[in-house]
Amino acid sequence: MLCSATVVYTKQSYKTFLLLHNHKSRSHPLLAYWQELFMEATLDSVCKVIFGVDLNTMRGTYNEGTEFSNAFDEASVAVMYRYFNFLWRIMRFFNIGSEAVLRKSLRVMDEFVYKVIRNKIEQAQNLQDNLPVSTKTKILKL
Amino acid sequence: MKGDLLSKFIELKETDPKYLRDISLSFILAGKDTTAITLSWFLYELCKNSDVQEKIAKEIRETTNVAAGSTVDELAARITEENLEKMQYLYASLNETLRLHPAVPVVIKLHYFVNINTRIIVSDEFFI
Repeated sequence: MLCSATVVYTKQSYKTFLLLHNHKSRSHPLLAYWQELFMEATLDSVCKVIFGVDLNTMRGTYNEGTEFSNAFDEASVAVMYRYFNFLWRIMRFFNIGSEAVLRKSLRVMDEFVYKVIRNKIEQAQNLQDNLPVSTKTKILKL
Repeated sequence: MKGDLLSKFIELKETDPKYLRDISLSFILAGKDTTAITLSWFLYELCKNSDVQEKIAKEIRETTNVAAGSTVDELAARITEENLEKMQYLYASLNETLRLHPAVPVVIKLHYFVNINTRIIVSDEFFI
């Protein structure tokens, strides 16, 4: 487990470095770009370690992954906003402002995560069904 | 990829989707912002302390044994877990970054009795 996490993070750092190295656009100052890039890199790595799915938000090639990432960021901001806005319960009741955004982002996140979980459970069940009979009985005996 | 956390939980016969969702989202929440912000602070501190930067670069060069003027791919191939464990100075600098800019600051109130002439330094930095 730990070993695979190290591999994932090392690969991700390499990707991040390449992006920084090839960064030439003048419209994006490099320093502002850094933090954004780190956020994307860590999200990609952590999702790879937990879900085993490459979101690839850094390149933006995986649409659902990018959607999940955006929803995650929006939800974080909305939750943070509750700290300053003591009327958030009322806003949640009427579904307005940041609470409306939060509800929408949570739906996107749930959809994605549940889909991944469903796939994983199906995979695990298929693996079990395909086990040869001898192994099954072995497990039962144990 | 095999061996992700979710598969491990499912292997343990944990199939309640809501529980799995909550636990995986907690891990993402715990692992994403903290790591990214600490990395940003790390680079900020490196820019401020060029001597540390130089030492880290030297350590990486020595442990990975790359020749001068080699490409990024060659360096990336040599950064293994084994080599990373040898980079003590890098590890110490990362820890120092965490000390100066805690990713999740926790202030625990403890009562200590100290001698009259003891100097007490209280860090005034507070970041989330």
